[in-house]
Amino acid sequence: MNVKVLLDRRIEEFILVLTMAIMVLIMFVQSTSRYFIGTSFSWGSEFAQYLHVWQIWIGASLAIRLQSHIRVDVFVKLFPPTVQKILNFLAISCWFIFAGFLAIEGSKYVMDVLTSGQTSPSLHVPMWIPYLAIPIGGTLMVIRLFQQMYFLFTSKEELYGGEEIK
Amino acid sequence: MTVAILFGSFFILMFIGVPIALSLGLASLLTMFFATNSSPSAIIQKAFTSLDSFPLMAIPFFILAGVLMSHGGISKRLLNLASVLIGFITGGLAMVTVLASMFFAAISGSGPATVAAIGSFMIPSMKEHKYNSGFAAAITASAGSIGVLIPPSIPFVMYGVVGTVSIGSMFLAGIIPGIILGIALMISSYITAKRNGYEGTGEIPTFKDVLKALNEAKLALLIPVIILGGIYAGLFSPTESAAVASVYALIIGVFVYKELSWKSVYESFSSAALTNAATVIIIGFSISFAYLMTRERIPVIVADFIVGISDSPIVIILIINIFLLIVGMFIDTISAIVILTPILLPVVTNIGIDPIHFGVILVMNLAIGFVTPPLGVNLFVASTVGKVSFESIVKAMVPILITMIIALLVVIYFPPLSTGLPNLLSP
Repeated sequence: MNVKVLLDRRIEEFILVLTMAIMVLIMFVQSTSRYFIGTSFSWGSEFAQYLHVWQIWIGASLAIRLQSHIRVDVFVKLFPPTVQKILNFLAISCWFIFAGFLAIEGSKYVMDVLTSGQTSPSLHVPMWIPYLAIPIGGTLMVIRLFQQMYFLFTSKEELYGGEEIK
Repeated sequence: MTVAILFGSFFILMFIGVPIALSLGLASLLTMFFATNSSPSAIIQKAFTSLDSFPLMAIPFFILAGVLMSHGGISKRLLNLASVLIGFITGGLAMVTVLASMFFAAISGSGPATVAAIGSFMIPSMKEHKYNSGFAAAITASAGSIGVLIPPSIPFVMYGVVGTVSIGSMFLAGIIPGIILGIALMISSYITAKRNGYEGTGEIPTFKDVLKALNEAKLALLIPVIILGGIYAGLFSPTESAAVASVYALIIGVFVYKELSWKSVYESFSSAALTNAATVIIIGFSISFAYLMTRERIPVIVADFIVGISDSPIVIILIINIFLLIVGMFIDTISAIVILTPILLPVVTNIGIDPIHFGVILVMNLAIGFVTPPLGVNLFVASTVGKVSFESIVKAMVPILITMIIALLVVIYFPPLSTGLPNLLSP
């Protein structure tokens, strides 16, 4: 495994697997402990929910790379390849603008939450930590979209298409 | 004007191939920027708060349980049970496909996953026994759409979250309509089989055979018992039951059936998390979109329009159904639920339809959309796993679609089929 593959896929994948494993474990222990021991910890679901939010945003970035976002491509496919390429360029650009918005406006929002000093109800973690998932997710998306743009222009069709990296 | 920007930009973005989630977000952003004076930071805030939800976590766990089970040797045992039970009848293999899909639906929440798990065994097997390959793939694809009706069901979780309806009640409400759809598909396959001379194995099972197959499948059959029993006995919430089901599927797959390696466990976790992210991120942005729609009174306008055509609930529900069937042909279930629930739910509750009943109608329509050309996801999956041409599947779909629509009409016009169980069992 070289550094390129590690950066391109493995890190995000590892985070997804790890967060998923912790979420399942917490919910499993929480639900069974209430039944068997008659007690349960209230912070468990809050922690799992924050992990879930982080997982979604990081997953949404990896999903750009693996082309697994849900989209309607039947109309695009009606056009000849050159037009398809232009439409793809347009789609990536629009997406790019929105990801940039998430990164910038999300950071501002995190700063607001940071100065307000708000903390979570049961864990008492500062709320900016869970909120940070949005600007980080937006930034990762921006990077991934740059990568897609590169694939589009260098005509690395085999990388741009639905093909998965192994 | 505001409405034109909101919907105009959404449709343009969707048509040029921007993912649905981002189309919703960007359309909301453009609308807020150009047509209202609300702060766009509301989008950020809603994107966080809508995903920071306990019920929503049922979705990743059910996806995970489904992935683990389809790789863990469970589908094979369910197929064996189904074939012992009904394999001897005329058209036996097609019947087995439908019944096994119903079993599988009870442990997995997703339609395409069911098609892939069952289809990779059954389509080749039907082809071997001289079934028309188009029919083989078509019946597998259609049987897979039962997966979203029989609990657990990811679309029902989505509907429950978006429409604030009890997820537990939705799960109960889907059971009988799911069984009705299954029986309808079996009748349809029987007729096709009779006409084309597809014979069954002819081996009428002895009591002993049935017991043996049941015994082999018992660990798999325990999953729905854990999920539904746990929810209705008040032991678990749907989210907790989904987590318990994942752990159970992991233990069975790795330690009991020994068909899951740790490498495939890792891959299952990663693919479940990825599918989940691509699915629920739609919720994150749909909330801003729905907020703008409500602000512009879209549900009220739609309601006035529909009531203006007719004031008979029967006609209104028919109009809505035709609309839903058309939408289902083009847009995937999750996006459709997330976008349409806030518009249509107020309309139908106004004319006296139970939100639980409407949820079942909505999901059933979209399930039919799974197998309606040109964009039926299940058809693509069946075509891929069964190596059958798309055109031949479409041809074989015609009688099956008619059957499914009849089943839909039955469910629409007999509300107790949906609302009976939840009313009986809910506290």
